[in-house]
Amino acid sequence: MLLGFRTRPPDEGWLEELFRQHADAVLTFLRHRTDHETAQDVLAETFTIAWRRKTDVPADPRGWLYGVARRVLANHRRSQGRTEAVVERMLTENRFEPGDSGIEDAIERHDTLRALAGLSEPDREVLLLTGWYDLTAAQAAQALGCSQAAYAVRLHRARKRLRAALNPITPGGSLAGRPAWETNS
Amino acid sequence: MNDDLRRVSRARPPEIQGWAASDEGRAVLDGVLRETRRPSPAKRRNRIFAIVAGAVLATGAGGVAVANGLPFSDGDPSGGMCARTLSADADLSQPNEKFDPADPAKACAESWTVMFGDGTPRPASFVACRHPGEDAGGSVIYPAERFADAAAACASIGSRPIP
Repeated sequence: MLLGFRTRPPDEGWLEELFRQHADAVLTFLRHRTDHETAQDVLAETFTIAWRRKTDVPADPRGWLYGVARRVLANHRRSQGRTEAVVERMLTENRFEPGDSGIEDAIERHDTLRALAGLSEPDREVLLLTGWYDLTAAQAAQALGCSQAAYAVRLHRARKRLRAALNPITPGGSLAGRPAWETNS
Repeated sequence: MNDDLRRVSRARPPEIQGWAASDEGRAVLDGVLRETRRPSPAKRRNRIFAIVAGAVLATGAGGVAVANGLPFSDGDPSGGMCARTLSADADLSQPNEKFDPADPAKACAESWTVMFGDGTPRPASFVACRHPGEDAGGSVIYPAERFADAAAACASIGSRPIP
């Protein structure tokens, strides 16, 4: 006789563990793209889909979850008539004021974000999946819904365009567009 | 990692940590768990459809549609549904697109994977039948399965074809 235990279908433990292990990462991904309330709604739908399609969820679910979250958010945005502007959000939310890491690092981060903001959305996406969320090639390919070979090609092209975008603002380049606290110093 | 990717990595914003274990995270998880205990969307739609179909029958609209041989789903407030299987209690779902009265099966064929996932292969042929049973009257596209004749396919689930 089990007293004090809530009777649950056996798979709920699986869902709770999936949530415990990955909800923070999925929420981080979503918060870079939308407000907190929408991010929570999309996250809840993402894990509900994971439950409904649990036989499709791979043993390493990270890329799969990012892929579902991307699609759910895209549908949400289409219904709202808005577009994703991940890097623009970072630039306007003043997250990169000079702090403990020093002004040079802050300038470099700002320049990198400006370069990322100038890229196409597909280029930016492939770079961020690797550079911000540390996805492996297999995970990133799964998140994007493409083969690893296609992902590798996309990443190669995106890196090339990023280097070109960074070039005018690397040392010795133009200072235009840098934050006011730098040009005033 | 290459220099350019390392640079992207250094521009990474802060990560969220500890949210899943917070009260807010727990509330979201509880909401997801509540959702998982409800019937699947297809089954919920089946129930809604049964109610709508019942209302159609009660008002006589479904009967008018059959008697006058109107196109698929005319006079049916549900707008028509797609069934996963040829059975009287099949899961029903609405397709993404509106039904073309001249080719109502097209909407079900094109939305098949979205409605029912990859686990149920898309049927090669369909039939249009009235929803059978107590809540009969609604317009449903069913997989034809082994039947080559619509009347026989619909009769196999206690229904009749939509003209």
